[in-house]
Amino acid sequence: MSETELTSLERVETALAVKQADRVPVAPMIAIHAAAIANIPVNDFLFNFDLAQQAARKVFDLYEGLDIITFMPGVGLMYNSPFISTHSRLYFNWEFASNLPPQLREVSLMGPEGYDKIMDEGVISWLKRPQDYDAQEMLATTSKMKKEMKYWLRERQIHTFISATSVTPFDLLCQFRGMRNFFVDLRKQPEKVAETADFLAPGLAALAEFMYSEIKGVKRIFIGGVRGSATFISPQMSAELFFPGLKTMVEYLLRDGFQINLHFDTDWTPMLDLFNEFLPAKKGFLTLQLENTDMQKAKEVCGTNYCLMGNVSSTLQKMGTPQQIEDACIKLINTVGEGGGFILSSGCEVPIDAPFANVKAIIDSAHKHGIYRT
Amino acid sequence: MESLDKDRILRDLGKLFYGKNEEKFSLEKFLQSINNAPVIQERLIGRKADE
Repeated sequence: MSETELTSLERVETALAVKQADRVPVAPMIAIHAAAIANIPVNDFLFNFDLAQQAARKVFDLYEGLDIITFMPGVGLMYNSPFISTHSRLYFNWEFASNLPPQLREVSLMGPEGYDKIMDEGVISWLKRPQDYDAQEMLATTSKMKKEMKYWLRERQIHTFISATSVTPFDLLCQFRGMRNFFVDLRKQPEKVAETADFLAPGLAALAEFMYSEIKGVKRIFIGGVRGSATFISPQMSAELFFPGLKTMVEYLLRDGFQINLHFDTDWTPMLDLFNEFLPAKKGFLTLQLENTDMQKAKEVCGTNYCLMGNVSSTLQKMGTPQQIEDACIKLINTVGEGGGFILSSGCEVPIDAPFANVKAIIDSAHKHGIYRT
Repeated sequence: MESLDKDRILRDLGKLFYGKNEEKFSLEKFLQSINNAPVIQERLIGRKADE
């Protein structure tokens, strides 16, 4: 097969189906990095959709060769959403500056009694309205995002990858309670944590479906997971307190025909067996986007059913050379890319200040070294 | 919501946002909740300073 035989849309869909395309698709997750490349303030990129849209289009073209737009133009919706998420400034103490990515000032927003309050009164109890917030403007932005999705899919024939996002109940509870207190709770009152996670999981899946129904676009949901990993807790604790909530969400979404991108930051290497143990083996419906996890091991354990995505390190993107990045990409392509079902990407999002040449090296590596020759 | 079970989604959303006794989520009520929420100080630090 030659590289020109498939469109980006076809190439990505083939990889998502855990099959071999003409070459490895490439999609470093460019979000706030686009503000730096387009030379506009981060706040404008996040809270002025028209400027974000212009910047995203410009940056996509500058980086020539991307197969997915990721959620470049709509990233501000995540921080501005009244629908609960770990990134929403309406629930959590996010702080914003013109030249930095948003910073979370994490504090304990609830005491140990908060778990019961969540189940009795819901998460609306924690909703706050920033001074400058305009709910109608947010709804208008959602409409614009819907049009933007259509533009990329229909006019540009470029994959938009997801239409809505959600988060695991474990991560949400951790952020409400504050990391230190939450990890004490995992020892002192694990039953209460489990009960609350079980309560939240259907609603968090329903939220993603509701957002999808507003945006439309591709029927794929992004679920972020971080704190159930080996960076924070043991595999046994993760099996008892993290994976059951994730399982409920995944089964909920799969039942309604959604594909799911599990965007799992930090290191999940010791937990890879748990993905197979807890989640349905539904080939072509699940993508595992990993940050610091051993990708070769992920291929061995999860590669049959999951499309894998990742994971050029953020440090390398920021501090490395284009040659070092190309070497890392070749290693990923040759191991994880074998037989298809792989999208070359960053782990989490591309650092805001990663040099252009370094990000371009990821894209060029896929075009140069990622062509399948069978 | 296409072929999705709208009633189930709105019931599950109702529980998420308003607790276990809530029947259903409505966007109208939710927008009202936003308007009634406690106002917090501007967090767009540096915006004016940088401008």
